[in-house]
Amino acid sequence: MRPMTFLVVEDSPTMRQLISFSLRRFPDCRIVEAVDGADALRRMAYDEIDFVLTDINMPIMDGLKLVALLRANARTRNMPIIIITTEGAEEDRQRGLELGADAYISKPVEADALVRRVEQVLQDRWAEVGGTP
Amino acid sequence: MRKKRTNGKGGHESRFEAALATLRRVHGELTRENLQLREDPRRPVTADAKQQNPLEERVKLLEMKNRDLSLRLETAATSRPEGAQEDLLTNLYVAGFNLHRALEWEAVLTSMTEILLNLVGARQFAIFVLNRDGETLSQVANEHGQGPSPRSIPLGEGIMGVVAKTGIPFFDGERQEGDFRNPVACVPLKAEGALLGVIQVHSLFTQKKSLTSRDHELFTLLAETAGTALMSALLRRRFLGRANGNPLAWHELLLPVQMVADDAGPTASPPGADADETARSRP
Repeated sequence: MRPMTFLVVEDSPTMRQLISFSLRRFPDCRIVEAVDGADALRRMAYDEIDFVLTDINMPIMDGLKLVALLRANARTRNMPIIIITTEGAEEDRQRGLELGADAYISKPVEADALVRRVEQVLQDRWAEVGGTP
Repeated sequence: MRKKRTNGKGGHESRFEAALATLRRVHGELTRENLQLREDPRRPVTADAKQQNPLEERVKLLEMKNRDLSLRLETAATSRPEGAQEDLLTNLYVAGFNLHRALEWEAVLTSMTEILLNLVGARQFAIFVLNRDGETLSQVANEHGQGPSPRSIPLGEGIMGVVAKTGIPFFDGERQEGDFRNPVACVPLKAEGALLGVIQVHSLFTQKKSLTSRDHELFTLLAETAGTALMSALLRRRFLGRANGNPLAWHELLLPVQMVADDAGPTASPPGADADETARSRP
């Protein structure tokens, strides 16, 4: 079976590394990294992605635009997405959820909390289709 | 001067219990508000109206927040010691990795800024370095505006000055918001035990109520590793600038008094850069 592939979209190298390192707790997963929304779309064009974790504020293409584009595309319409937000970004958070993000997590990100959030989103998705993880 | 340190296990546990109680209370309030909104007669029933009514969005957001709180409660209630240990190791690894791979002065400052922002959760902070006179500290980087913090302060003055003079870090483990005179944390930057500068945190993100033991570990790492990284960046710059020059004395590595650029920030030039060196590097 193909390993689950996460796409981490974040312009800060420290945060990108922290998120990727945290996701390695999932056994046999693959992690692909992108520095902004446009880079994420490029990577998704030739890589099979199962789960997206994206920052909101990024240069070139921000996380909100990315979420909107992913939800508008038939291939990625149902892809689980978690947005990563900063403090005082209530509007961005709400906008991200309105656009179709599954959940959010606030910075500073704790690895354990991030992993649990991903697990929860996956469980919700499985529950929706009546399966088990 | 008020000097407070986080106490032993009892203090942490009581604060943890208090935080847990607050989370439970907010969770209950959100659940009630959610139910009220759901029962609100103004709540739309048709699909079209559903998209237009802001109440629906509010309900959606509240549900999301409620789930977030539920998850935090569950995490807090079932938090595994090994989970916290893994978090700590992850943060230390990422911080150490990023500091070790930075060679340029600006890259080290950027790395330090990212660690303080993303791993510690510091909202307002400033980084100071020791001047060549050995008696003053100058600001070389800051986040969220310079605010009331001065560009330069004498050693021994205020909390930061004392921290710089004694090399003993200062933590206020109970506050989220402070200012230059009453910081949340103040940590010396050292290279081989010698003071090189100070990190001063004025306030934390609103979702971060206070510093934790994990932050203390990160600050300990920053104190040693970031200090060494800054010193390495200075040495590298001096070495590259003086490849044909005389051997350097230790005091030459320290920074002159007036070396802070007007736009001091994460990308500010090393204050210790000589004018002739800068001129040589120009095309």
